[in-house]
Amino acid sequence: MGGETVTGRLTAMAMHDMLNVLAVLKENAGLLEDLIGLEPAIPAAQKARFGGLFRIMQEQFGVGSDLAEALKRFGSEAAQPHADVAPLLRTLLAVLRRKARGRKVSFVVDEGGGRGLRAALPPAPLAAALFAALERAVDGLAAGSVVRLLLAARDGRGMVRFIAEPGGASGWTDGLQTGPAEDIACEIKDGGAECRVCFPCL
Amino acid sequence: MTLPMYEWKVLLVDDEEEFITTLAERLSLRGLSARVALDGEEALRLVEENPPHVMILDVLMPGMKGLDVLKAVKAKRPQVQVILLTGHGSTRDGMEGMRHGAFDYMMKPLSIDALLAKLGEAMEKAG
Repeated sequence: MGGETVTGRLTAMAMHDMLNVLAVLKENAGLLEDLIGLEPAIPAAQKARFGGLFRIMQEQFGVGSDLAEALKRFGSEAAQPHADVAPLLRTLLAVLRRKARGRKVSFVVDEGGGRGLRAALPPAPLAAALFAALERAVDGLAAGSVVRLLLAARDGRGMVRFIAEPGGASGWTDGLQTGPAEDIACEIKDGGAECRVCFPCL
Repeated sequence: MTLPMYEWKVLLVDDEEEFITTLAERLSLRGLSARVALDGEEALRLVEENPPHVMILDVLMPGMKGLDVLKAVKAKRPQVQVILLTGHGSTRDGMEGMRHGAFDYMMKPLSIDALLAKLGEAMEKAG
């Protein structure tokens, strides 16, 4: 078993356990909320205050579960010969969510003509190229920017287009490698306003 | 005609004891008394002893997998409605289970209100 496969399996197993931990915490928080709700000695204002705290806890359990599930899927599919592009992209966005929110940069995935797109290469190298572009967008774009991620396929080539809005935002693509890995190309368009990660597809 | 909730026979199956016993307690606070099984073999034994109307079944368990439990239950007791629990965002196992006769699937972590609503729908089908 190769290093990448072992890492993937360990990640998937750890994230599966993490999902169970979060599910237990969520249910116990829910039970505590139920019991407090049934307790007549607690004043209504205090119950409302507890209710607010429980809502925050439930939201955070949801965020944690999304992240753990995304990494579990990524880990379990690391050794696969092909990558499902849209789920992979969503996994990367889940990992980057906190940083992107801090920088006030958001992403919109548009599968459009690339619905069901599968790359003819394993997930890891494609993830590396996509993540580099996503991270560069978060670091290099102004607060309030929205990046549309358009999936497309043509003549055996798949691509993810990174289009920053408002239009004309240039310079954020500086530093992205044009050929980050064999079979994967990172093309810079419109004088640096758009980036395309291209790869062979099925 | 749908039975009142206190007459619903529900079996919860999950190897994560802390999770499933807490869920059972939350359901009991809402007037629904559910039995609990911690693995597939125990679940099949409980189904034979006293078939539930609805079974909530985790897909990923050590030992006998949830989909194998589902197939065994449906082969012997097709009237039992099975709701599968899958990982959040994991639709593949849920869809596979529905092809084998599951009533529906839900993703963990659960919302208790959504679970009760789904149980109600399954009870209507259980008749």
